[in-house]
Amino acid sequence: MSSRVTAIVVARNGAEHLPRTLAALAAQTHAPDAIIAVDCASTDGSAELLAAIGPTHLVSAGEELAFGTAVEAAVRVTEPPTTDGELLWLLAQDSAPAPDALAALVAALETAPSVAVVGPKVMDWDDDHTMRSFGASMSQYGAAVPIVADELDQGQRDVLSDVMAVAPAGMLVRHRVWETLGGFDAALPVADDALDFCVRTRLAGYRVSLVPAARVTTAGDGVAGPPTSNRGRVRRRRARLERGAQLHRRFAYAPALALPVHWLSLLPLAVARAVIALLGKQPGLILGEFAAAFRTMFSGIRTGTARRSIARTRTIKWAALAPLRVSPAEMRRRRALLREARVARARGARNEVGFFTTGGAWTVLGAAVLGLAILVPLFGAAFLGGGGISPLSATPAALWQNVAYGWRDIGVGFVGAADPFAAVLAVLGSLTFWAPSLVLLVLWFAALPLAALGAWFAATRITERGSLRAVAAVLWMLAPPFLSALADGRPAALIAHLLLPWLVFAAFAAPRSWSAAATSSLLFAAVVACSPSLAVPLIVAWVVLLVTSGRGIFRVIGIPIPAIVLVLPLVWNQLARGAWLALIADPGIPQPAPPASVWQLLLGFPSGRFGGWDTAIGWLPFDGVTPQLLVPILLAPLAILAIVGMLLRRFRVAAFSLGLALLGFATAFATTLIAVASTGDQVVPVWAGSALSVYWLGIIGAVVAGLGGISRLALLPAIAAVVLFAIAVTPLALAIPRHEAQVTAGSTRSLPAFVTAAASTDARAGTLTIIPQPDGGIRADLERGAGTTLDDQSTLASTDQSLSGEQRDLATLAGNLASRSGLDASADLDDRRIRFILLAPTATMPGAKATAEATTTARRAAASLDQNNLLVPVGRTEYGTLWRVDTDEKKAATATIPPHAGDWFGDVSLLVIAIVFGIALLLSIPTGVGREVPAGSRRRGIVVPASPVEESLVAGDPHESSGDDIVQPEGETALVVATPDPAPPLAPPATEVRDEADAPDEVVVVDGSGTAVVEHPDPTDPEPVDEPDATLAEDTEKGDDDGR
Amino acid sequence: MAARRTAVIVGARVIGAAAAVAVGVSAVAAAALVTWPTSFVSPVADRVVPVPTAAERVCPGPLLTLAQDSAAATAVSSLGSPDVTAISGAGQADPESTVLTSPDDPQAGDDGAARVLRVEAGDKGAPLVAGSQSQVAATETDAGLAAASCVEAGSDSWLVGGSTDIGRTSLVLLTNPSAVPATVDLALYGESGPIEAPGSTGILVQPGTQKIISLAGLAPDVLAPVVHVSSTGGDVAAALQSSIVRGLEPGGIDVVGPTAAPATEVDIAGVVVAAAAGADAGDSDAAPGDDKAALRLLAPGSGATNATVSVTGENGASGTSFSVHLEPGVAVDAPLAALPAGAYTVRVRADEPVVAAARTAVQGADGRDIAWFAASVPLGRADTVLAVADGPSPSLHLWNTGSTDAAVTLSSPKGDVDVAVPAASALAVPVTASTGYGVSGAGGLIASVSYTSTSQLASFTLLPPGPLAAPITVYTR
Repeated sequence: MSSRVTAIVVARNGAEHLPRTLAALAAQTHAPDAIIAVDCASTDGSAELLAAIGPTHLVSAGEELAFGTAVEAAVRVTEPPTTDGELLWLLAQDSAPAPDALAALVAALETAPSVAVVGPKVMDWDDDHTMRSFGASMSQYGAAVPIVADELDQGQRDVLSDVMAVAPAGMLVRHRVWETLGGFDAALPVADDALDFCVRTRLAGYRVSLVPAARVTTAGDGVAGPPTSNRGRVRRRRARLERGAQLHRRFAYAPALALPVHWLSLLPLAVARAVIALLGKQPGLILGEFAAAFRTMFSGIRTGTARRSIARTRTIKWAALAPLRVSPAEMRRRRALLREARVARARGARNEVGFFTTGGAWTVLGAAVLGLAILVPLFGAAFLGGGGISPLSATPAALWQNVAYGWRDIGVGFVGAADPFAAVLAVLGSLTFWAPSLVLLVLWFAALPLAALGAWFAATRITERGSLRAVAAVLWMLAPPFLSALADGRPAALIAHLLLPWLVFAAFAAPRSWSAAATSSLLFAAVVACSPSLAVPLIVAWVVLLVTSGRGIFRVIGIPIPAIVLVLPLVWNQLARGAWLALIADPGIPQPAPPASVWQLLLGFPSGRFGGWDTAIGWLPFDGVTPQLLVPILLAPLAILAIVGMLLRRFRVAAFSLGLALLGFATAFATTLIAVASTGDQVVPVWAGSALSVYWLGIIGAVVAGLGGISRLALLPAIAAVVLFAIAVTPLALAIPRHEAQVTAGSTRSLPAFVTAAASTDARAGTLTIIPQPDGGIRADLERGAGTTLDDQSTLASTDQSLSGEQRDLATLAGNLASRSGLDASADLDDRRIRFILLAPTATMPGAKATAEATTTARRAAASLDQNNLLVPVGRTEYGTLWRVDTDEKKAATATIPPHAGDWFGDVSLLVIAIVFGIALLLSIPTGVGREVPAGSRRRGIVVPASPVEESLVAGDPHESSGDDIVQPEGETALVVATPDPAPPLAPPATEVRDEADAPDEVVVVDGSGTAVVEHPDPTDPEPVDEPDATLAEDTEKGDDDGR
Repeated sequence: MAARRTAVIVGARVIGAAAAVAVGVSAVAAAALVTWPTSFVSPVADRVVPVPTAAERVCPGPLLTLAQDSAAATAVSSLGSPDVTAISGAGQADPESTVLTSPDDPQAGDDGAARVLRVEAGDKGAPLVAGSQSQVAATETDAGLAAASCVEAGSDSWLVGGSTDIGRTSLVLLTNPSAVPATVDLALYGESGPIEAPGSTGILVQPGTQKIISLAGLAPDVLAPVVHVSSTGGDVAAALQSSIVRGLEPGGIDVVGPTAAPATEVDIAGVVVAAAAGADAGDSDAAPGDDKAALRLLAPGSGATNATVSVTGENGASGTSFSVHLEPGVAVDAPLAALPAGAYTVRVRADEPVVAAARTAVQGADGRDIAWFAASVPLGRADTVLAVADGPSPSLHLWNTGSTDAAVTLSSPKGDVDVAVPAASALAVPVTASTGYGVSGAGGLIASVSYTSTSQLASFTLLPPGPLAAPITVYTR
C-alpha cells in the first residue's frame, strides 16, 4: 500500500529561512504528493516565495495563526481521508528537511500500522551536528520534559523509537488520526501543542515514534514550537505560554474529582512558584506565572472542550502511558546535573575577595581594639544616654507596630505615617529580641570594626591590594562624620555610615546580578531611611549607574523601589501639609547642632568646631597655630592623593569617586541651608554629617585609586597620609574618653524608676515632662508608660508647624502648672491620664551651663509645682524633680491607643511594604549561583550558540539541558506537595535558549468562519498503510547511559 | 607612535585632573560666595497666660527684740505692732488681711505677727494688691524707724544686709503663707566667703507660720552677711531685721526686704544719704562702720569679677563712681564716701551676676537710725498699686531705666498726680503717708519709697508681681 503525503508548510514572515526550506522540500527523494502552503499575513514576501514553488494550495490567512490552527486551515482544503495511508507532513518556514527525511518518515509509518505519528530528529539550522529536539515526554506529574534537547549528535540517540511525543516541526501524522483527534488543541497555540496531540494519539491507542534517520532543522522562529530567542521579552512570554500550556493540560488530563483541588491550588502554587522564581533570580517570570494562573482559572470552556475531546477519543487507560513518562529518578538526576553545571559556571564568575588572605581580618581586629579603646568610659554601662539615644520599645512586637502607618505615640499622639527609620530600628531590635535596646549598645561598641569591615569590602571593588583596602578601612572608620555621630549619639547617621560602603559593594555588582541588585535596593532603602537627606545624592548615583549599566539596566532600575514604597506614607502625609522639604528631616530625636561653615564642610567636619580642634589646639606644644591652619595641613596629603588619582591609570575610578565627593559636598552644603524641625526653642538643622559621609566615601575612593596608580611605592605616602589624618581626627576620637561627648553611660530607662515601676502596672500612665528652655520658655512633653522610645519618634511631629487643639490644651496645662495659677488642673490631668510631672533639667551641650533664663524658669516651675496641692513631691531623681499627681486614679481617662488607628491605609501600606520587601529579600538571597551569568558572557551567549552544549558535555551528561534561565526544576518539587494526584501533567519544558530570532506577536486563533482563502483545490489519492511493527520501547525516556 | 599615544593619554588625564580641581574650587567658591536661599522653620510655641489666682502679699510683722528675758538670751519677742497700709487694684475688693501665727514669739498674741494681704481673683482682671508696714521702735535697745514692703512669697530670695558683729542683731524672718510646709535652705556668705553653718539647711516652716532665726546663731561675728533663701514645698517670704546697739545707745533698726536676684546689672533707686552721715565720711576712723553709707556687694557665682558702681544724684545732682573687685562668694562692704546729702541712684555693672544693697545712717539730736536700700527690678508694663505706710515725709523715688520718657500717674482718693520722668533719670515725688495709690505708666521704672526725718530713716522697694504668674512660652515638641 502506498502512502499519500500532503506537506503543509506554514510561514509567518519567514522570508529569511523560507527559500532553503522550500528548496529542501523540492529536493526530497520521496516527493510529497501535495504541498499546501499557509501564509499567515506575512509582510516580507513570504507569500510570493510560497507561491513561486507552485504549491497545490496556497492558503493565505488574514491574520497570524498558531501553528496548529494554520495546519488545520490547510487540512480543511483537502479531501477527507479515506485510507490510513493518507499522511500529513507538518513543516514550518524554518523546517528544512534533509533530502531523505520524508522517505524515512514515510517508511516508518508504512512499516508500522500501529504508529500514527512519527517525528524526525530536529537539528539546528546552522549546525549540522547539534540536535535541538528529539522526542518529548512528561514527568510523573505531567511536566513537559524534552527527551533530547541541544545535544551534539553522534548517533547516540538513534536507538530511540517509541516515545510519548515528538516535536511539531517535521511531524508526519496519519490524516485520519488527525481528523479523529481534531488536530492540535486550539488552547495550546504555542507550547505543548504537539505533546498534547501525541498524548491524545497515544490514548487513542496509537503509537508515536521517532525516526532517527529523518532530519529536519529548526531556526527557532517560533512558528512551530515556542521561539527560542534569549531576549528578555521573548523569554518571559515563552515562560508564560509554557506555564499556561502546562496548567491547561493539567486541567485537561486530570480526573474530574481532582479538578476542584487543582483549581484551588492555582493561586497558592503561583505564589509559591513566584517565591521560587525570586530565589532563582528570575523575577521577570512572576507576572507570567500569575497571568497563566489567572487565565487558567477562568478558562472553563477551553478546558471543557479539551476534556470532551479526550473522553471521546480515549481508548486505553492513562496508566498505559506510565512507562513512557520520565521516571522520578531520572528527573532527580537531571536536576542534580543542572546544579552541577551551575556551580561549575559560578566558579569562574565569582571573584575571590580573599578576606583572610589579604589582611582583612587583621584590619577588622585592629578596628575592634581601637573601637573598645575610644569607648572606655562606657564599659559596663547598661545602656547609653545622652544625645539622640533613647531606649527602644521593650519588645520586638512593639517595635514592629511602630513601623506601620497609624498611631504615633509621641506627645499627645496623632495618626500618621511612621518614619522609615522605625523599620530599620525594628530590624535591628529584632536581632536582640530579648532586649531590643541592647542593639544600640552593641552597635556603638561594634561601630568601628563594622565600619572597617564595610569599607574593606567596598575597597575590594577597586583594588586588589590588601594594604590599600586596609587604608580605605582605616580612613572610613575614622571619618569625621562617623566619629561625630558616635560622640553626639546619632544612631541614624551612624547606621547610614555603616551601610554606605556595603551599598557601594552591592551596587557595583547590581548590573550583573539580581541578588546584588536586590541587596542594593534594601541597603538603599535603609540608608534613605536613616538619612533622608542622602536620597538626593543616592538617586543621582543611581542614575549614573543606570546609564552605565548597559543590559543590566533592568536589574538596576528597580533599586529605589523599596525605598519609595517605604517612604510613600510619609511623603503622603508631608505633602498633605505642603511641607515637602520636611521630608529630609533627620529621624530620631531632634538634635540641634552648631552649624558648620563651608570651609569646615570642605575639610569634612560636620560639627562647627573643627572636629574639636578649637579647644584641642591647646594640647600642642607650640603657640600661634589655629585650627583653621592646622587641620587643612593635616588633611592636605589626602587631597593631593585624591587629585593624583586623576593622573594615573585608575583615573576613571578617581573621577567617579571625586564626582561622588562633589555630590556629597553639595548635599552637605545644601543641608546647612535648611532647617525643618525644632525641639523646644531650638531650630534643628538637617545634619550635614550624613552627606559628608558620602563626601568621605568619594574622597577615600579617589585616594585608593590614586594610591593604586602609583604601584608598589604607594605604601609610604599612604602611611603618611593616614597618620596625619589620624592626628586630625584625634580630638573627635577622644571626645568620649575625655567626657566631651554627648554620649554617656546611661540606663535603659528614660524616666525615673518610680515612673517605670508604675508603668509596669499602668502602661498608659502619662508623665508630663517640663523642660525649661534657654529662652526662658518651657517644653512640655507628654510621655506614656516607661517613656517615649526612639522608635516612637516621628519627623511628622518634629516638623509640624502648627499646633493642634490638643497640643494647645496641653501647652495651657503645662504653662499653668509651671506658673502660680488659679487653674484647677485636676480635670485636665485626669483627662490625659497624667500621673506624674517631671521637671527635667535643661538639655545643654557638654560643658555648657544652662542660661540664666532657663535657671529662672526652672525655679519658677519648681516653686509652682511645689505649691500645687494636686501634686505630691516624690523627690529629685537623675532625670529631674518628680511629682506624683494625687487625684483619684479611677477618674482618670484610659488614654488607650485608638484601636486600628491607621485604618485601611495603614493595612494597605503595611501590606505593600511587606510584599515589596519580601520580594527584595527573596531576590537578595544569593541562591542564584550560576543562574546569573556575568553581563559580558550573556551578550556572548547570543552570538555563540554552541557553548552551553559543550558545557553540558563537560558536565558529564549529554542528556540534560544545560539551560540557565528557563529551567525550573523547583516547580515540580513544589508541586509534589500540592498535587498528590499522579495523573496531572504539567511543567514547562526545559527549553534551552540559543539564538536570536524575531519574537512572534500575539498569535490569534482563526475561527472556522473562513478567514482562510483557498486556492487550487487538488486532492490526490491517499495511500493506506499497514503492517504492525516494533515493540514498545520500554525505556526510551531513560538516560542514555541506560539506553545504550 | 606609541609615545605619541602615551603623550595624548597623559595630556588628557592632566586636563581631566585640572578640570576636577577647577570644578571643586568653583563648587566651594559658589557655596561660599553666592548668597543662597535658606529655609529655616521657627519653633512652634504657645504663649500661655496663667489663669489669674488670688494675689497675696506677706508683711513681715512686728519688730522683734532678743533677750528681753535674760533667762533665755536667744528668745525673741515682739515690740508692739506695725502700722500696715494695704490697697487693692481699682474696682477690686479690699485686701483681706490674715494674721499668721508666730510660734517663736510669745508676744504674738498681743502684738500680732506677720500678716497676709489677699485679694481673690475676680472678673476685674488680674488681682492687684500692695501693702507696706512701718513701725517705730523706742526701747532701750532698739530705736528707729523700720519700713518694709509686703512681698510675694517665693522659692528663692536674697537678703543683703545686717551684721552679727557685737551689738548687732540680725534676725531672718521666714514666713510661709501657703498651705504646704516649706523646707528652707539658707546659704550664708560673709566677708570671708561662703559660710558653712550647721542647721542652715532643712529648716521646716509650717504652713501659715513665721519662723524667726537669729543669724548670729548660724554665722556669728560676720560683718557683712548675705543670705540666700531657697525653699522647696511651700514658698516663703523672707525678710531680715537688723538692729544696732552702739555701746548703750540704740543705733537704729530696719527691716530689709529681699533684694533683686543675682544679675549683671543691679539697680538701687532712692538711696537717701542724710547730712550727718555725709559729714562723718571724712573721719579718721576709716574702718567701715555701719554708721557710714556703704554698698554691700556679693558675686555668688563661681567667677571673680570687677563691679563698676556708679552713684548719681537724683535730679542730676553729682555723684561718684568706683570699681570693686569681687571674689566669688565673698561679700564686700564698699563705702559710699563723701556724698552730699540727698537721694541717689546706685547702679552696679559686673561681668558675673551680683547681688547688692546699700546702707545709710542718720544721726540726729533725738537719736540715730539706719536704713537698708535693697535693689529692685523694673516694674511691669501693667498698672500697679502702691501702699505707703505711715511714717515721716515719705517720698516715692522713680528711676527711669528706659530710653523714653515716662508719664506716671499716681491716683489716690485725694486726686491724681502726674509725674514726668525723663529717660535715664531719676526723681522723687512726695507722697502721703498711710495712703494707697494706683500707679499707671510706670512700666520700666525702678521705684522705692523712703522715709526721712532728722533721726529716722527707712525705705522699701516696689516690686513687680513675681515672675511666677508671668506669661510663659510653652513648646510642645
